[in-house]
Amino acid sequence: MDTNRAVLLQTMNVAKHFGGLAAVADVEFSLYKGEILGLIGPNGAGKTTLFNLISGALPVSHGTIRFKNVNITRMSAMKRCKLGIARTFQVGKLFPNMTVLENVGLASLFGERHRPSYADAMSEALELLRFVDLDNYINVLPSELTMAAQRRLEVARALATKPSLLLLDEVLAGLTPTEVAEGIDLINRIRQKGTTVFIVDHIMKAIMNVSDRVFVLHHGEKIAEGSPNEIASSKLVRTVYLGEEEE
Amino acid sequence: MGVNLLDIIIAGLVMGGIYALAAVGLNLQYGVVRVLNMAYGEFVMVGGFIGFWMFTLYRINPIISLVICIPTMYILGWLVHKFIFQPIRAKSENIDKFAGYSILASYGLIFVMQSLAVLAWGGRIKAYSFLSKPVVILGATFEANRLVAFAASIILSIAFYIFLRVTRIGKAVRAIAQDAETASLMGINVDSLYGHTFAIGTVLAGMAGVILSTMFPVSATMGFQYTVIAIVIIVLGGLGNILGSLIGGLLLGLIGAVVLVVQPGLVIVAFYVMFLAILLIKPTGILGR
Amino acid sequence: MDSKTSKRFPDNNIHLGRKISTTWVIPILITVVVTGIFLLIPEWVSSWTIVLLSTIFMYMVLSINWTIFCGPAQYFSLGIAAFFGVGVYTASIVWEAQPALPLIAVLIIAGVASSVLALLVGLTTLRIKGIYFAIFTFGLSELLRHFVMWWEVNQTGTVGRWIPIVDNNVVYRYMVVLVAISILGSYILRRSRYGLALTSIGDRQDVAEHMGVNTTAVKIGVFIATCFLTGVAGALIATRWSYIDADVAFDPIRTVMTIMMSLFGGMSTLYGPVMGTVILGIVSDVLLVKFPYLSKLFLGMILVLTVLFIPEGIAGLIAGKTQMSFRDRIANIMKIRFGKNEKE
Repeated sequence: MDTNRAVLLQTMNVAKHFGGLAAVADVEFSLYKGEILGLIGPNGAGKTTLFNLISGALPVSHGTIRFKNVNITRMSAMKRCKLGIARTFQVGKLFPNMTVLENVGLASLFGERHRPSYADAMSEALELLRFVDLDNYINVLPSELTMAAQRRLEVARALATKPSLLLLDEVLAGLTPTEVAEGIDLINRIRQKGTTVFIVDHIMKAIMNVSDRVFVLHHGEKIAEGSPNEIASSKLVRTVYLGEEEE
Repeated sequence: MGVNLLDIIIAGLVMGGIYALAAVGLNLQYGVVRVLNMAYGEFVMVGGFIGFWMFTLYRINPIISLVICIPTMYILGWLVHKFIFQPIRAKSENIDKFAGYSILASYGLIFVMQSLAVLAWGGRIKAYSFLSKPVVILGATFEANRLVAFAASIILSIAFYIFLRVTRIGKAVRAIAQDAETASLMGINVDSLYGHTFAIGTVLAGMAGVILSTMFPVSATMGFQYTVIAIVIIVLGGLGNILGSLIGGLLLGLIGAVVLVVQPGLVIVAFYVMFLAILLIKPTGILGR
Repeated sequence: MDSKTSKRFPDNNIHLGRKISTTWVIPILITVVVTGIFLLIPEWVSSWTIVLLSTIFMYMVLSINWTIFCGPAQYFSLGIAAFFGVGVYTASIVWEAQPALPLIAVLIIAGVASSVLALLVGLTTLRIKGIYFAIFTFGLSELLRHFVMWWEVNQTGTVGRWIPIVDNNVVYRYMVVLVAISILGSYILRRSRYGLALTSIGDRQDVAEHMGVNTTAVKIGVFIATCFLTGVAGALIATRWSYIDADVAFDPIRTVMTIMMSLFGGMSTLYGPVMGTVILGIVSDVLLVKFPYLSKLFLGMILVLTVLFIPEGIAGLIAGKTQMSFRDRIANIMKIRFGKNEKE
């Protein structure tokens, strides 16, 4: 591992409590520029909560988050977006009353600090839709797309904000093996374009395939961290995942 | 001068008790059935007219009218829910759309009920006199009807609160308020309880109206301001929080009594200032999460 | 997969950045021509018709502006009467202070006053969930009514005020212009980034925030603009009354009428509120004449029944039942295509 790489995102002692329950407890990790970091863990381990804390959807109970060496712990989601964090969402968060092009176009219009013209933004959106292979559906409503296509739309929309860090929240869940393979290909292409990726998913094979490093969350705590091989052969991780379905 | 602190506090508690009773009913409808019933005050008005007509036509004691309220307002509320809010819920794709549409529908209901009241009972203000003789307790003088009003509203509010905490139905209702889906998975007949809970809220509104009628005149247009007051209280206390409504009601009653002495026309304005303040400081309310 | 019509634009618009000439010029020309026709009408019709048309156009201004904000954003303002009344009272106060001011100046000041109130309401309630906005605006007209009455009784000593009368034809012409401005404003907003942002707010507000949309600023901005025109409409129509008081100025009937017309017509399109106003404006006028004591009852019932049976409004029904967009149907009838196809 190249320890001279720049740290893009860093969390320190980050925790989130809901009532008495700690969904995320003292998680500390660093994310390096240009890598693909995978996050795995059984259901309810706190993965999506951690994403919500990083993207600004939820406030932390305590701890600090630094992005590009700026303390973003108290920043709104909107400001974090302009700073360069983007994410996909799990279920049904595409704008239902806007076309595919408009869904992405909105992100192009507002996602960056610099304000593009309406025409430029829509052109960029069209480019991105070509990148994810959805350019035949620009005038269609999201509800009319297949699930795999909706996932690609989520990704295109997030990319439209020109992020430095892209959080992928279970983008591969429920897809056929072919679609998963296409998804992995897309993620690699995204990294080639220069975006750092932080991916969460259940599908072990896919995560191991695509990630440079992986860390494991269980009951809100980080229990293991390392290369995919190290994690795959870890006894601890196997115990945690015993009884879980592997696809 | 002529007005001392004790008078203000008594007046405040009396009104506060009525406000609390009314607010609890609205909060029940919102917290459980998820309907923010903008026509709530109109049900208070109906209760007021029940009190008025029972006394004026049949010399029936308002306390008996409180009992009459129970079946009449219950049926009225249950019907309104069945024919208006239940169909809207069935057609709404999600809870936000349901909230929006039910607010709009209940806004229309205001005008329907007001007009029916004007048609049935005329547009004039009506009043009757009940127990307005003075009573002396501990050296202070009160009007008997105010004492009765206060006692009635406090007893009813507390009784209802106990009902929610202790009885099986009350617990079922609270379960629905917390998480309707899980409640239905636990075997609670959520759909039917929606109707009954709404109806209970209507009963509380009617009772508040009866109590009001013993001290104040009633009119077909009196409902609107009570809706406003009830709304301010439930936001103040926390949407869905019954205890918060009780506290908020008493608080607003006291504030209202103070303002009434200083500048009578500004009571509603004072309430709205409190509304503004709580929305700016802590929108979830004093006891809200 | 075939291109289906977008719900937001039943006119198959893609906005890949067309030239000004095709997107804007034709609609603006149409608006100017139609406005011109309506401005000339007083020459040919009776005074009674002009008065009726002024009232209908007033409600059209209210409905279009209410729909511009509440339709996409799904934040329902129940306080139209409040902003309307502020316009009315501002006009009266300003004219009393400065009788020589021209009508246009008074109207603008009245609009600004409404906007200030809108700003206060927005800063308080548009930063949080929509239900607070609805209930805060609900009591607003009642609050202002009480406050103004208190002020008049305690501070000025007189209840009610005078407003100078303006000729019916002048009121009518100004109202036509207001309608034109509202329609143009709605048209432009829907095709701009802020219209898109507003829809995203109504769809998934938290996601919109993640896409960089400053949801609070967008909401407040659009809301203020719509309240400005509402206040102007109030000030303008008040010049017909000569006498105003708190009850008349802040009458909640304006709120229920506006909501009823907007909902009935359909909140998802531009022409929905226009249609709803025309249809229900005529209906309510007939009701007022034939059943004066039942009119409020019918109006309330229409609103309730609309929510129950056609919440998407007539425009929504049209868009749903026909697979063709409204514009395509017109285009087919006239055999011209407005705008370019996206494949070009």
